[in-house]
Amino acid sequence: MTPDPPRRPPPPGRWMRRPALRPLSWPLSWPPSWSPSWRTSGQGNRHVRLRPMGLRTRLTAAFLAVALLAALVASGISYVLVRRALLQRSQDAQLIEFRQVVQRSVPVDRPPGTGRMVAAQINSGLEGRGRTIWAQPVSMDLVGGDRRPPRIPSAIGPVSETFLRRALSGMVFQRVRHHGHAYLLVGGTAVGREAGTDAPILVVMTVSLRHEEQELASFTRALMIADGLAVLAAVAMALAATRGVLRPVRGLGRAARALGAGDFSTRVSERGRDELTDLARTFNRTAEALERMVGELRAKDAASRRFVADVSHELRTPLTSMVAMAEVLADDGDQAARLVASETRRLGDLVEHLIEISRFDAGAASLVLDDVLLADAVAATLDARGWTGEAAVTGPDDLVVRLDPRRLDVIVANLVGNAVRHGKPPITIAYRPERDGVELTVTDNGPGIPEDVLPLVFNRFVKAEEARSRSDGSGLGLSIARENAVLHGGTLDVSNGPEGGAVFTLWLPSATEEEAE
Amino acid sequence: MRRLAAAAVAALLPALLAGCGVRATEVVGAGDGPRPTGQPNEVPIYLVKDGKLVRTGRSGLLNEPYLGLQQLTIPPLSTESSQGLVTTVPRSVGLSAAFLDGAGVLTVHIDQADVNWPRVTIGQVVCTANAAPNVKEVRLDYPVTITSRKSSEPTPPATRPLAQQLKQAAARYNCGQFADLMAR
Repeated sequence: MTPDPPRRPPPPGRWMRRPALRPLSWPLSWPPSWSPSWRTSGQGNRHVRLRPMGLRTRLTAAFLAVALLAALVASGISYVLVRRALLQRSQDAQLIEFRQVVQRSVPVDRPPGTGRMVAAQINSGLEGRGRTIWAQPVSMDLVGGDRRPPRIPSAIGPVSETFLRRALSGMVFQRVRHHGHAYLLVGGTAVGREAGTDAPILVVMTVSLRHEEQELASFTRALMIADGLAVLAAVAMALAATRGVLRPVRGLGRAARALGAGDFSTRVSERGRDELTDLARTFNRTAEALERMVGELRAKDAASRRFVADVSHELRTPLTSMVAMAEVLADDGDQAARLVASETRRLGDLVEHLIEISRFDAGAASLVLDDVLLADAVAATLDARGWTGEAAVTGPDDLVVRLDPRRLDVIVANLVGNAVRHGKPPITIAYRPERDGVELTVTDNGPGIPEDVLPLVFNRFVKAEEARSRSDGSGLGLSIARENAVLHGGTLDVSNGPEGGAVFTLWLPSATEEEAE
Repeated sequence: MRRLAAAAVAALLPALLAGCGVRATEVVGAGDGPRPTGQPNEVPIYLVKDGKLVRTGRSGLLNEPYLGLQQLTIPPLSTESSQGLVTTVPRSVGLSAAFLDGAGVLTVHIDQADVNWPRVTIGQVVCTANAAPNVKEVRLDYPVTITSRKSSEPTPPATRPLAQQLKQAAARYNCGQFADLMAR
């Protein structure tokens, strides 16, 4: 994995040379290792879950509220209507029966002295379940008068004086609650034709409304059950509706994540005719445009890489002869000729590095694995560059790791070369077995690397200080070293040691036999 | 939106719950008092004018075929008094029809012991009872006092002989037996 590409624009020119053919580095390593924050947070979306204020919760709550409101209003209205009808019906029935019985029982011309008989007849005529009757002949002057009405035994019910007064002048009824139950009081006075001789008969009837109360209670229960079912149905419908809405949303979310992760061929289905379909269509067009643009960019990038590779190759042949010739000229001792020779050599190195980098970019680099005795390999590298005296090597003598010896040589040479050129002695190379491979650190005693350059140090053509711009380095050495480490599946990191020197830490895994192929 | 609905529900629910059940009302008028419409047939009764039995009618009551017997104990109405009609049945006495057996014999209860009424009074009761439907004969039923005494004590002269009393009590009457008392 390559490190993050620099996100901010680099400060102009002080420590960074910008080559004319600076390769576009970001499409190279696709998908990028950086993981946006939503990637981790959005993983659980697949599962149905209720967020506190999620769309599902809100829609369900709205459905629920509407259903509850509608159900309650409807139930309330029907309850009131039903209750009124029920009570009206029973009241009417009671009043009609009362009136009929009294009218039938009391003759127009009543025989003298039969008040109590008639009262008894009314009593037996009205008798029935839940009824209590009180019927008595009353004194004539009570009717329509202001005198106190007769006392009614309390067993009859809570009969008020107002009720009796009005019952003496006409028919009245009243609903009362007594001991937690509802009763209907009906009262009336039957006055015969011969008002002068016949004592009027006052009749008070108490009817228990327990039956009606029970009916109402069962009706309420039925309403509650119906309301509950309505609410359940509302919840079910709300869930179904949110499903219909959330499925495309989830699909879009998934597609957007896939797009963010680099899968530009992602498309969502455009079925339906609603706003979400419009959104899906827009998304698809965007993805299409992105795919096209990224494709073009990649093609351009590849073309420019190829161009760099071609140019490097074309430059190599003439440069080889130029280097040879310049060496010959330099031997003559001319100051100018020596300068030409050294610069030509640097040019040759740069071209070699460019070719190497091009191989990595083209994916043409491969490993040639061998069992390597680390102590020998490091010593050989130092010896070949003439650095044997400049770096102290510590590590087990018998550590054998399977890797590409040429590439290990390139890495170690680059790191040590870097330390020799930019750091101060003593330079320490330490290696030890680590995590099924080898960890190798190169430490120098220089000033270290400025903190702001530290993350960029492996980028191409990055130099840590102005002075280095005149140095021998191509600006590609560390980049190549890291590419080589990554090719092994290893890592190469840099940090500043506690004493101030730069510490490069290389870790290479020991390859297995299968990977040797 | 959600809050609004919740508020509506919260406002509605107590109102609904408070309005549940059967509520009490004020005293409500339901029109005029019941106006009597029933007018059963008149019941015939026998009153007395100048010692003779006179048949006359009183307004009846529903399901009260023997109402006449009770009416005999009521003082005559003003219209009857003006015609000179009286009743000889004592006011304090209670007359009621006990039962009618299959042979048409009506037992009339008299809540007075040892009835020893004049013949015209008995005629009033018997003929009034006999005028009721299906009644062929009338039996008067009243308590008979039997006083036991020691044989040494003298017989009270005022009391009628027991045998006569029992005979009288067991007697069955019909109105025909009082035809001689009927006013022409």
